[in-house]
Amino acid sequence: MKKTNTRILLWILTLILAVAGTAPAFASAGDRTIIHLSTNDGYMESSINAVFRDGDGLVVIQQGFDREVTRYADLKAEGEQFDASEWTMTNEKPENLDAEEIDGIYYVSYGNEVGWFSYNGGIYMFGAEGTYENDSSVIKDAAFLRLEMKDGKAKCVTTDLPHPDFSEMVEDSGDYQYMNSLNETYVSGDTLYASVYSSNGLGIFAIDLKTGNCRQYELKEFDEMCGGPEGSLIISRSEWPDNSDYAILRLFRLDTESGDEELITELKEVNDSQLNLSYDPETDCLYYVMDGELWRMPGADPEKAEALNDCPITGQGMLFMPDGFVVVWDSETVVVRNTDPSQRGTTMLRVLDNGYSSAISETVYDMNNVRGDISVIIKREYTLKSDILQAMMNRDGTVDIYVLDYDSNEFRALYNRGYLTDLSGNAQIMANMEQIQPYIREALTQDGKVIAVPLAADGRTVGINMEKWKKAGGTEEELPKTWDQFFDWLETVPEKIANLEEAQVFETWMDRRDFRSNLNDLMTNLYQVRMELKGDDSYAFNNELLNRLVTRAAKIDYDALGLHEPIDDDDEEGGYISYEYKEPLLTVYGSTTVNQDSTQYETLNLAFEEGEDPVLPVTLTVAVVNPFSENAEAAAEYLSLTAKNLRTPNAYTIFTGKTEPVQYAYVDSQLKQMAETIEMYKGFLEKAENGEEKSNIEETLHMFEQDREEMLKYSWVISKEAIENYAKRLPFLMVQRMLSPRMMLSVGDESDLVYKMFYGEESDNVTPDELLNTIDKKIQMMRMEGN
Amino acid sequence: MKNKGFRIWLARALLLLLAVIILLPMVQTFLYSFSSMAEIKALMDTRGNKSTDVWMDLRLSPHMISLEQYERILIKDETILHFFTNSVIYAAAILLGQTLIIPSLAFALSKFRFRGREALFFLIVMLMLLPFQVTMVPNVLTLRFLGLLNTPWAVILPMLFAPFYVFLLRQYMVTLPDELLEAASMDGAGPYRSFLRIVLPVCRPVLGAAAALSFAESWNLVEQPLTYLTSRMDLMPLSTIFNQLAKESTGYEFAGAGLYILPALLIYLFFQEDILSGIQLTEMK
Amino acid sequence: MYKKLRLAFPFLLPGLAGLLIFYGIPFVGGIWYSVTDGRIENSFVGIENYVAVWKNQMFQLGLKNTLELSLICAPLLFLLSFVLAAGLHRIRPAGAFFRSSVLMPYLMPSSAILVIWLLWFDFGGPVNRIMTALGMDRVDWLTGAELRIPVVLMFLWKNLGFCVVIFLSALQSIPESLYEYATLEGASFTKQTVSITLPLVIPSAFLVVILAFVSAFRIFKEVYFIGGAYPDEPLYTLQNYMNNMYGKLNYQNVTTAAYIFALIVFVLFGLLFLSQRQAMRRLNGGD
Repeated sequence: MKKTNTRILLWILTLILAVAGTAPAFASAGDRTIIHLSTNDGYMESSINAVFRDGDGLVVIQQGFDREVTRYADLKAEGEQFDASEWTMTNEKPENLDAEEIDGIYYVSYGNEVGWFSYNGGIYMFGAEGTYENDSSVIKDAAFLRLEMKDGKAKCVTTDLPHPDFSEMVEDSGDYQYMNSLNETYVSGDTLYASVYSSNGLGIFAIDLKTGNCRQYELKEFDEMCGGPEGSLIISRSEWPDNSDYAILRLFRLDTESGDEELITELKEVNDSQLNLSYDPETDCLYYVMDGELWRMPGADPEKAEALNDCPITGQGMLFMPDGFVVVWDSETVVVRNTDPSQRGTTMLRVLDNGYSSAISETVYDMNNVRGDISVIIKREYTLKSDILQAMMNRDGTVDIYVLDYDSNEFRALYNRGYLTDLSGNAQIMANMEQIQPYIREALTQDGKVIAVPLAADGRTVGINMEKWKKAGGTEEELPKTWDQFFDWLETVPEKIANLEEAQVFETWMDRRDFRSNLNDLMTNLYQVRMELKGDDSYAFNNELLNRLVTRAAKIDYDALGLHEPIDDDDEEGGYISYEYKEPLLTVYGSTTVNQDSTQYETLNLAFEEGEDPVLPVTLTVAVVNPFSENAEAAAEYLSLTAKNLRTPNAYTIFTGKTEPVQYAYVDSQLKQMAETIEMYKGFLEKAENGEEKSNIEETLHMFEQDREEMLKYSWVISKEAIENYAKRLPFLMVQRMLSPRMMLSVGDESDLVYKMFYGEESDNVTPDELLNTIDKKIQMMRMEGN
Repeated sequence: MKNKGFRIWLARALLLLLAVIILLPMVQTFLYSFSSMAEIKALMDTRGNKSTDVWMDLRLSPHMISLEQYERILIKDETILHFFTNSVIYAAAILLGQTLIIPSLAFALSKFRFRGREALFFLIVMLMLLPFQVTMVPNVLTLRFLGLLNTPWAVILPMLFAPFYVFLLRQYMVTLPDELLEAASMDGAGPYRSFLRIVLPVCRPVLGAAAALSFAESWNLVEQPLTYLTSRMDLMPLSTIFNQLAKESTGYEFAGAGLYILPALLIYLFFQEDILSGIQLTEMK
Repeated sequence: MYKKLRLAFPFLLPGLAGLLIFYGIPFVGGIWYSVTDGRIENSFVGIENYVAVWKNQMFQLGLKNTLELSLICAPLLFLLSFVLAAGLHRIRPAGAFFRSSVLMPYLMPSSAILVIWLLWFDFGGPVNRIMTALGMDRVDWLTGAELRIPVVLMFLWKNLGFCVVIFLSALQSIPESLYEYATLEGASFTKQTVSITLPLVIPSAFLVVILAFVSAFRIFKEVYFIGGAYPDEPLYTLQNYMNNMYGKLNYQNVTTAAYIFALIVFVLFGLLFLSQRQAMRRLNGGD
């Protein structure tokens, strides 16, 4: 009955407007991920410097600890690796290039890779040579070197190309000279064009490969550059109209002879101003990746733009290959995409990512391995622009997966109204659920059904550097248990750490306003979480307890705590104060989850009343499936794969049984190198001739040891301490379900009020009564309105 | 008799005073728009002081005449001009569309006799009485379904059929004597020709009034854009952003306001007689 | 005049189609939202939403404020415009300037005018200067219940002209001879007003009442500009409630509240219509 009503309404509207049908979509023949380097630890061992077309195949140049050169004979072939150990060696004495000769072999380093380009079928490097001495550097020379791949070896050899005139490209900051890298390189005829990001902003250089002459174009600020028709260049400029969520992208044609510009087209409603453009002269089409899809725009006409295929990266570069394939690459990934839209498959999984979660984008590659027939299109919206509930009301299944913050109003609305697909049918998700911390698992289930998958976790409260505290003679028992005790205790802290030279109470940049606004934000939020936990919704924020705490935060002896007066941004003269760095004992950004910082800081687990449990909230980013999705099963499968792509700190927060500390991958090699250096100096020490030299070396050795300690200390992605501290907090952790009062005010279109009450200059004069009454009034109204 | 004359002069003086007070907001806005931005900022910063010892330094006209505000909004910074252009586009598109649709609808409702005519008219009056929010949600969903949400059409299209102007024109057309049209049909003119050649010219005053009033409404749109264009702040008309301009004083809010008032003022001065006679001819029957 | 429906079609259809799409269907379709729960199954819940919304404190507050504001604004507007029109009618020759200036605000965008308006009513602003000059204390116009005063004044400022003009034209259409005759008969001014002026201005008066209420219901625009989504309690209108519920994505409650309000509006205007008829009949009968 109800369904038919809606149907009839929709039918009438359809008839009136004769809406066109929707286009089918997906994973086309020949799509492939050639390389995807990834790590969940946030540290990349290697990165892709350049990718070139080589006949029907590719050459990929990577740089990690060592250089790697790989050739793919064609787009289906496996990579063939070249030995790059003789990268800079040559047997012949190079003409007019600096080369160091050792035993008849010339070492041409030109080690600063300024840029790569392909020219007349060859692959070239623009290399620079400099000297470094006593904290100063000089660029001595620059040259074009050619990549030679022969007999399984990859080398950079000298070429017939002239010496480039690089004087314009050298940046000089006092004693320190360096060259900015050439990006978006493009060769047209005998001219190499490249965009260069310098201290003057982004510019374009043109280097004549016949003469080596260099020309610089005088341009207004722009965003991206690519080749254009008939030897021209195309540059893009984006404009974000005030308050707009979307940018307008304008494309200009730059006449390379005259340097004149001409507007060719405008793209509206662009999500990302760094849209990377590529021009294919054969078809006179512009290609770019937008909102997770590869687009082709013939003749610079936005009306004719068409989505060709999915594409997981926006790309640093794009290569046009035979048979209508393109290769898109960035520093981590190289993928092949079919550009024939008619070959797209029929199953398209559309993801709307509002959580900025790497887990979602990393899973694409796993999904491609498991379900190659499904095309995954990820659209990012850093601020949510899509009206999810409206889509639900219209029973719109366009987006299959939404990534949302668990405490957002959108998630709450979907949750309260049962608009979340039951994922319990997916065995892998259920198996993952078993491993999830119980407090999180509980938040992900509704009426016994699994309705969301966790992607990231975060949370904060006051944190303390326990190492420093103990060093100052403090004990765990002395730490406060309640917020009242916290303020009592805070008064004693300065005295306690007075004898610690290297420590101070808070971060140096914290001023009084930062301190108060952060604490007020924190306390009101934690109080709200506490009351929600109690199931009490008839409370007022301006109660005796909270008022007392907010008052105490305002009345505290700022000078003793080293909290200085706020520096007025408008004040042009006094805007810059420098401080000597000391490590803080306390932070108001202490993390309740497992992460890098929680090695150093333990949370102060504060309760509101004595005898109560402390309040420690965690906010989650989750993925859910649209109940109207036609690909619900595939969507669930996709979500089941996210578990292994979580960033390591998130994985350690969300899953149980993670007890092994994790060290950064670079640590081993670095330790080895350090050990070698130390050994070497120990050797020097033995050979030392006099006492002075000896003590000098000893001092250096001591310094090395300290460096090593320091390196080890910060070498942990997840440290033993972080894991232990998290375990201690576990009984008190809970998932935050509502926006904090501050966030709620800013969502409720009262953002200037938030500024006035919390952060702005005016907040200095806001009394605790005013603050809490304002929150009460607004939030009470919101609460009384209901959801 | 002398007494009566005095009373009339007193009444005139009072009315004059009232007229001055009524005009004052516009006048002062214009005067202030010629202040320097620093002066405006300084003045606006003294707002909200609850101390009984302090008065704002609010005078009628600026200390020194300056075109700085106008230079800012017309030359240096395109923001205001951008939103102003949006407003112009909305107002123009709405007015144009209404001209095509509303007079003929009113004509049909007044000069054709068919079953359900009165009921239809009654419904239109009812719709006219309802505030925007009543049809807001279904409208959003319909517009979304039509793919018009977050496009200028979402603001323009519903306005083209605004019941109030149908009502206004219909009330006027009803009073036109049937003889007028009968005479025309004697001469062989069908309803189309009569409508174009006779009815529209005769309705000139009320058309002018309706156009001016409709302009006033579309020039002051607030709820519609805020609801239909949530993710397209760049499409907003100027009316929705004064708040932000004035809350944290930008220094050029008065020039912005002046610029925004100006077209309305010009339209009023131009159509004044039409508006007056148009309104005068309307009554509830 | 024209009796063939066929002929009316070209005039009727475009407008009717639009009215149907953007007003008719949404209005009828909206009922559907108000009787379902908005959950995924979207079950029919009858009048549950109506009961819930009716009982909601904020809805009650909003409704109360909207009605109160309307009952302050509309009668004030009615009386003031009638008095002014009557005054203007008597001193016709000099009324032109006043008439032009009083109608002008109707066309002015209130968003632009509010900038100066709020300055006037600031605690240290000219209105308070006048207050102190008259020997009264300063008033904090921009918070709490006092905020209603600038809002109401803004409403009057904007709408007065329109109503004055309507009244004035009605008054001017009354033949002077009627009054002359009545004066000869010895009828007092009051008597003249009741038996001549009133009956002849009733159709216009009725229009003014309707317009006054319609504009008063729409006072939200100004309220929103001054107080935002959550203004001080005395200014929280029904539209605030509806807009906020919309922001909270609770479309059920928005539509439900809207229909309750629509119902109240219809009943109110229905009564007005009836009373107008009755008044006309009684006056006609009294002649």
